[in-house]
Amino acid sequence: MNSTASKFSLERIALLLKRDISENWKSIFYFFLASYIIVLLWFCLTAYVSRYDEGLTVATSPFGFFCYMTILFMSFCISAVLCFSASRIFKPMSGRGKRIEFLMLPATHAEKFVSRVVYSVFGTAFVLFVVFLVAELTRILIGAVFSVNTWGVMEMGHVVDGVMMTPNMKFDGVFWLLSLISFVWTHSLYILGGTYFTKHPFRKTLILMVLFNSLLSVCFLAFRMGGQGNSLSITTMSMVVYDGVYTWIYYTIYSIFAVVNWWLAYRLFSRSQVMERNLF
Amino acid sequence: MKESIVSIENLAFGYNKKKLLFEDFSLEIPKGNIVGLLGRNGAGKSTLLYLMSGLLRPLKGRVVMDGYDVAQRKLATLSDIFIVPEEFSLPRLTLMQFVRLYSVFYPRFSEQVLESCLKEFGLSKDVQLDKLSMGQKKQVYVCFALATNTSLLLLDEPTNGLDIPSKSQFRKVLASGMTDEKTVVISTHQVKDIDRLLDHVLMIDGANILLDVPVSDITDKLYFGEQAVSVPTEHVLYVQPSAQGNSIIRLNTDAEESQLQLELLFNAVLADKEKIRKVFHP
Repeated sequence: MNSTASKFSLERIALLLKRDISENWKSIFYFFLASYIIVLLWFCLTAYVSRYDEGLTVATSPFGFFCYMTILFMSFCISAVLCFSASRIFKPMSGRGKRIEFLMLPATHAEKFVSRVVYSVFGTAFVLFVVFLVAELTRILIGAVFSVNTWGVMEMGHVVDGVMMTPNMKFDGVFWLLSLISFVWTHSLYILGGTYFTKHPFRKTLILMVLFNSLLSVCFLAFRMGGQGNSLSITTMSMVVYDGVYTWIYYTIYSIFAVVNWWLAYRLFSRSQVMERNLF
Repeated sequence: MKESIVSIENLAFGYNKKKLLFEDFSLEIPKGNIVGLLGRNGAGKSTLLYLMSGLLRPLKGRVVMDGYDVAQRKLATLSDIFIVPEEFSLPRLTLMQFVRLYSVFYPRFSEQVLESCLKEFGLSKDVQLDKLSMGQKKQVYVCFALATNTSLLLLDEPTNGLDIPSKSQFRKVLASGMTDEKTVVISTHQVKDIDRLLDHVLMIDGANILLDVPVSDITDKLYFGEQAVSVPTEHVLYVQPSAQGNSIIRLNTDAEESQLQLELLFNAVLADKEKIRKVFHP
């Protein structure tokens, strides 16, 4: 079977994906195994902690606090894994030999870009989904075999649903939506960083992002806090950030910039050359 | 004038914009030939190969193949060019798996060519690519490159890392894999490894084309030989001491047959490029 279609071809994307998976199946498997062990341990720990607090499944209880903290922590870890994976979007272009091989593969820029997005973004998300699914099944199995109460992530979500995080912010649908927009923006920066930097893309993007975000936040707060003095306590800051219309304007701008980052990443990739970029 | 496969038109390129390596550089690569791209270290041979394959974008001018600007890396161009770089890495796969994954991208891929090439090098398709020596990796990669049957094959220092028997096997597989539709450009500074293989010689030194002539023209117009030290050398174009006395290049006024000695010619051009150039472009 030869791929000869001259326009954008899904068949060629599938061939590119097959190539990526065949060359990296061991890393994918180890990632799956490590994630599965971590998630299962989390579930087991949750089941263990819940024994001291059964029946009191409210956020103010020690178990509720545990759920609240671990959900936040796991969300952070998942975001970090997805961002790390995004920063490795053009790993096949690290090193001159690999770069030549990837750039010279007979497929269009769009096909190569899409295949790498599918592999490093959706692929990682899919593996994590399967990890949770398998861990959930294992949890149910353990519960049935040993007749113990084990807590799944969905049930833990119910425990913390509606908990006040800050005076103006609840652990609810809006919180998750805003978190998702923040994540999409951050993730798009790692996609851009991963396209630009050939060596240590995660580390370099992280450093740049911290610097850029700090600058942006200071500018934003300086603008919003114009008439409120200099009392930058966490409570005041959260009130400023999470209040009504401004919040949505703020997050809409983030969403637009996320799209711009993706566009820039594609443009950078399609203009890649065999030589390394001079900056950084 | 022979049909060309690649046209380089008024190209300007430099890794540093203030110090250009190529400026207003134009060149035609003749179709169906094995072209030797020769030059000193740092003369721009690899850079020229990268420009010809679209891996580098010129600052001015363009490189055209089949009507397409190669810098755009269109699908039609990519599936008709294969480059074997000096440094490359092969994945942790068997050769069979590698072929299955990569051959599908090349519409004219030939299993038959691959197998005969591997046989010549004494390799099998079961080999684990990451466990091969550098020389063997090069053999495998060259075999795959030949099997893709692309119209343009670019080889950057292909004999580096090959042992003596492998070098002659390399010459054999390359010669046997040639057709009128294929063009091979070999960039090397190890001229002795390829001198009997070439149809066309291209010597560059950055923006300067020192020599761009078919081998048949060279052997028609120049005589390469050995002579004793006592024989006068005033009528020769170039003389170089050798184990037998002197290696010389002189005008082939008597239509004598001689074997092209590329290393000698290379040194002669570097020593006095005008003297040799005048022979071909009086």
